Amino acid sequence: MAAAGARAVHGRAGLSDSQFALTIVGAVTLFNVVVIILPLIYSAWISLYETNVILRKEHFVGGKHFAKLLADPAVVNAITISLQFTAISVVLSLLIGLGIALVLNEPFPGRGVLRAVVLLPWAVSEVVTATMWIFIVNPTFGGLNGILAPLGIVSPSFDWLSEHAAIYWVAIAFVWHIAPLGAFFFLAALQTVPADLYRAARIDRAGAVARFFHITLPHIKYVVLIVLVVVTVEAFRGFDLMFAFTRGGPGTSTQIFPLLIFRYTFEFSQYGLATAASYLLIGIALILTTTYFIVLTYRRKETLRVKATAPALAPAVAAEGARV
Amino acid sequence: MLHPRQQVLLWTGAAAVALWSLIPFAGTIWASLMTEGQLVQGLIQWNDRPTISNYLAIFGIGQVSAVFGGQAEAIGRAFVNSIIVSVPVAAVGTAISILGGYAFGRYRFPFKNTLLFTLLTTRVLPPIAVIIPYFVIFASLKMVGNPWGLMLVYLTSVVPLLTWVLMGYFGSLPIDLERAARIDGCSRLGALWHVMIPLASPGIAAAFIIALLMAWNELLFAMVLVGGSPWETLSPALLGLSPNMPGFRTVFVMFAAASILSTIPPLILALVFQRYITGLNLADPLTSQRD
Amino acid sequence: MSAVTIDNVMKTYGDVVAVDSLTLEINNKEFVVLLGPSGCGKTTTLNMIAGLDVPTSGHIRFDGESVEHLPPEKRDISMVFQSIALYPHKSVYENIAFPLRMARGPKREIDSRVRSAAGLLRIEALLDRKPHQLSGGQRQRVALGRAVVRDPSVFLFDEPLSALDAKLRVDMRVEIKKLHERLGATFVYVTHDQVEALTMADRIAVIDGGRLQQYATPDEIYQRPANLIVAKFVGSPSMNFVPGRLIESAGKWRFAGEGLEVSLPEGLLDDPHRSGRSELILGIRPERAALGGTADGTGWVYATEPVGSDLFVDVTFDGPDTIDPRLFKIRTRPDLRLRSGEQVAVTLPLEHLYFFEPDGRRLWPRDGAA
Repeated sequence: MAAAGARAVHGRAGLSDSQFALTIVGAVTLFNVVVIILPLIYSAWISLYETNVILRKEHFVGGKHFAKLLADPAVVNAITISLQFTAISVVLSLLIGLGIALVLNEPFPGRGVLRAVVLLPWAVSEVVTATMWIFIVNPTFGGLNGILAPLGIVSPSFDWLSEHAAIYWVAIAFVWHIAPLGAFFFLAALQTVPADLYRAARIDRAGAVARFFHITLPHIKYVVLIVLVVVTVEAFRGFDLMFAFTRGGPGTSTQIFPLLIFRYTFEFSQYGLATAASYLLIGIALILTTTYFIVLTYRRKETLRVKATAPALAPAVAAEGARV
Repeated sequence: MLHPRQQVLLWTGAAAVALWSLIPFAGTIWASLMTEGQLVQGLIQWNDRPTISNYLAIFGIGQVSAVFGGQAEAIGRAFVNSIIVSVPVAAVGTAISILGGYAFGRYRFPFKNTLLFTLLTTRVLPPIAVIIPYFVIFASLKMVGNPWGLMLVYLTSVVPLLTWVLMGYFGSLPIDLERAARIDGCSRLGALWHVMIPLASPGIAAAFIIALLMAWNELLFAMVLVGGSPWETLSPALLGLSPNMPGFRTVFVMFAAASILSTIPPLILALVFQRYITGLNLADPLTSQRD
Repeated sequence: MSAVTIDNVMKTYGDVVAVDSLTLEINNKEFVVLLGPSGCGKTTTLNMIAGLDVPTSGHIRFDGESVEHLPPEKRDISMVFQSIALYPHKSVYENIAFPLRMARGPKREIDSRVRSAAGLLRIEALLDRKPHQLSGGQRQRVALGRAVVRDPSVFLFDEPLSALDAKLRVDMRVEIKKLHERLGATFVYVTHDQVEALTMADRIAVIDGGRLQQYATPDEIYQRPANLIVAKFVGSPSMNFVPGRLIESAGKWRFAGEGLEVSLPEGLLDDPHRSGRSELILGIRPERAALGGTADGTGWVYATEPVGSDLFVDVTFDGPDTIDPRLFKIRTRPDLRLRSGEQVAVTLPLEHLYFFEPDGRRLWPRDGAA
């Protein structure tokens, strides 16, 4: 199909449609590829060398860094924490995002205002998100203790960010920031459900719960998967929030993999090791997302029977980036 | 036509959504209106003399402790730096993406899917994975410690997303309008300029905002490429005030005020353009695209 | 003013052939309607005339000059779209002025031409409005105004009336026809509505499956459809078709179909090779068949549809109680009272019969015979 117009001969006519589009798109893509792929190639090269920053010397070590990484318990630990953080974030985002969307989908006075309010956490940076939640969970003056301690529910100066609990609080902060995006995906999907279906279901005496499971959920299944992918990718590759909130602590209890790589780089100046770890991170991210994408495309074909006009990966890859 | 019981449920839900979204803002704003002496007594207390002195301090007005003076000044400068970095990134990124989105959304051409895929794949990359090569390459090109390297990085990260978003937007506009423009004597770019861009202006505005927020909010690249330099932007500057920064005694109320201040522009933009942003089909423009 | 020639044009999308070896001569100042069902290739053809699509092979000529690779803005054409396609962000005035602005005409001339086009279409009062403030008919007039203002040599219409309601459609039909008379330009008009085609065209090109089926005057298309496709498509309600075979006994020829037998006069279709085995399709328009009379067949009334001026009777020859029967439509007097299931005689006047080969070609009336 794409080539149909391309065979056109042009003299005075100038570019054909496809040449015109290809020129623009080729330039844009090339620009991006150069700025992103070249550094990646360079980092692949770094990962095979031992670098001494002070002596400005490097020598080839081959796969040594990769072998070292896989044997390092700190790496295994960081990956586990990353996966844990991702899992908590995904579950909470789906629940909260869908909850928000269900509320916003009902007509009530003030809905427009609430829509705007819901978007606000999304517009805030991850650094400021961290700030706001620090003021909630801080043991000395934080809002949570300020309310719960006088009621006798927790002891004064209760440490919410303990080694066990910290990961949950970071995840909650992350979900606060990213769930609005999911909510608006869900809301868009909810609004495509034909109102007649609900009317028909009411005539058929289906209750609210039955309507949700028999009409709403089947209609938004595909969007659930999209949100799943978006949050997974974001949670797994994210850095800013964790760095601003806990810096990996207490101990290494929230040291997700990107944070470990950051430490390799800027605290230990282990560039070779850090770049090797980066490739491990990219690898895991690709495996995770590809798995979802396969499910996603399968679902997409099955439920929508839409002829794919773009690559299977495309929708979610882009949606993931929609988070600011 | 909700039953009273459902009404109660709905209003409870709406209240919960509002509280969930707003309480973190309220807490930090509340803290920013206290003195440090008040805050150590706890955030949850009645403050009958709220003060804006923390905000004034950031603008260099009023009494500022000597320790904090430098930091306050840094925030003010970072604010300006963030504007200098993010506005051109958003403008150029949007302009490039208008062209890209128009070409992807409107034309069939060879390698279309491959190119789209390549462009979008760059977005799954964890930013940390390219930080070392960027740092080394930009350092050798003298693009560290000034906004150029940062702007380049931001540009490459906004263009794929905005291209995607605008591709969906252009694809959803009635094709006959563009055809009419061609018939009426416009070239392709003429039709884009005279007809498609005016029609896509809500989408373009939203795309611009998204790019702006992205550049305004980002931490990692900013920290590595301009952190500690005169060109430091807001995210790394805020981090310098945070309790996680070793070596400083954090002034929490200042930290709160600076955070709130830094987030005012994104909040205003998000509020003003809320309809445009949420109106975009960010997740899946394909379903809204004609074949 | 231009003559448009479509010379052996092919348009394929991948494996799909949208337009198949189409050749069509459109004379200068002629009003030609491209008629066919949706997806038949007529709009693709129009787009290729406009330059919005490029033919895969073949030529498009304006006054003998190949234009198939010229972009639309370099052809001297205007077009009215099915979706009307007014620029929503521009006022009516600016919509009409847009083609002139793109041609960089002097301001004063633009103004006078916009006003005269608006006068021609009686929309002077609407010039300051935005498209969303107009009714459907007004929008259509503005779209016509935008087309007229450039004074192009070829006007293209892509189902411009299909978005309008029935009453407005009739008015606009007349309007467009008058416009053609007044402007004296070449009109190419795409529609799937055979009434539009019959009422407006100088010549109709019936297209189906990407191929030209017949290219002739409306009268010729109606009276002498080239094949089954044209016969089915033109005329409302559609022509009745009865499959059957030719039978000869004792030198007499007759056509025997389901429930119908028609004796044929000598010389009509008598061909010894066809006797007994030859399948044929008989066709007759509903207004030409009659109830009563000499009875070429006996059927049962299945349903009646009064439309005020006429009564359409659906007759079936399959028996009185058949479910899902084949229907034979007859137009008759509106005052006739018929009950469902009533037995009726059907007469088919010889002079109004058509016969088609099973492959669709018309066999009778013969080509050339009056």
